[in-house]
Amino acid sequence: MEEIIIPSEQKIGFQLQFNCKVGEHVTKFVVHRFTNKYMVLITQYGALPNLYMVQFDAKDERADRIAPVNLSEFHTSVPVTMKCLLGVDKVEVRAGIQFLINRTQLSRSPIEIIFCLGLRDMNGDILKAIANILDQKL
Amino acid sequence: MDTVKIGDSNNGSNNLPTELEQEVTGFTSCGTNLDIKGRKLTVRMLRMNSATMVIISPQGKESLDEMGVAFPSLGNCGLSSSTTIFGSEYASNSQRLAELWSKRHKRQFIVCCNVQTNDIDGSLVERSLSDWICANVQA
Repeated sequence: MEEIIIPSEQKIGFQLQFNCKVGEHVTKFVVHRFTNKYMVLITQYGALPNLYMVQFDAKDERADRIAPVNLSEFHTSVPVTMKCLLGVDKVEVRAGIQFLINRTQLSRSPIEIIFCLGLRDMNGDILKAIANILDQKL
Repeated sequence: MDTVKIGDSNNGSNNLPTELEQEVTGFTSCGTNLDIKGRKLTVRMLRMNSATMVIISPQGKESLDEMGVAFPSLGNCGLSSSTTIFGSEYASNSQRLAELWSKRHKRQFIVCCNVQTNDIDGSLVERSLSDWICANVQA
């Protein structure tokens, strides 16, 4: 996945902000950690098509939260509660967010996450590519 | 007769996606620390292709407590729409500021204002923020 550097980029206002080409579309990533929330915006559109509040059901900061198991037979997801704040609430988007949380370090986040996932076409390959990019950058 | 109609409708739907193709440019952002008569604020702005996100917090303790969104009016009727996405519904600065700036700049604004203001310094803070946004809304 090639990273696209925008020449006009002067000052960065957020901890992590970059553009990557995933599949055919330029995907914009913005990640910032606030004291009480993570903000993760991943979009291939010109704005934010949706916003989800992701809360972890196990509210402990110790290590004994259920860790995700990404094996096909013993698959275990991180238990989360998602609430759609903005945009059309789609099952595909919820599944995509759950996938990205299972596959990245976001699963160990002690605080809730504001998530935007706006993909023009959603399939396993694209989600895996995005999870890889997030894991490298986080 | 029927087959011709189906063929026509297919052509019509095939033409649609070309119109939806938008220019693909990345987002830009900027941030600053403002000192307004002793109140130290951190402002971060994310400029998207068709919307702007502004996050205002006290310096050193940046949180996300409330979020408001506003869309400018379509046409000349002058009615914009705004709502609170999360946070307190009452006395929400986020929604008010989003409405103000979307009206002024004719763009969608998402505002997170995590700063409590009172009657005395509210207008001063608001004016400083508006000036900074006016200067930085274009990349």
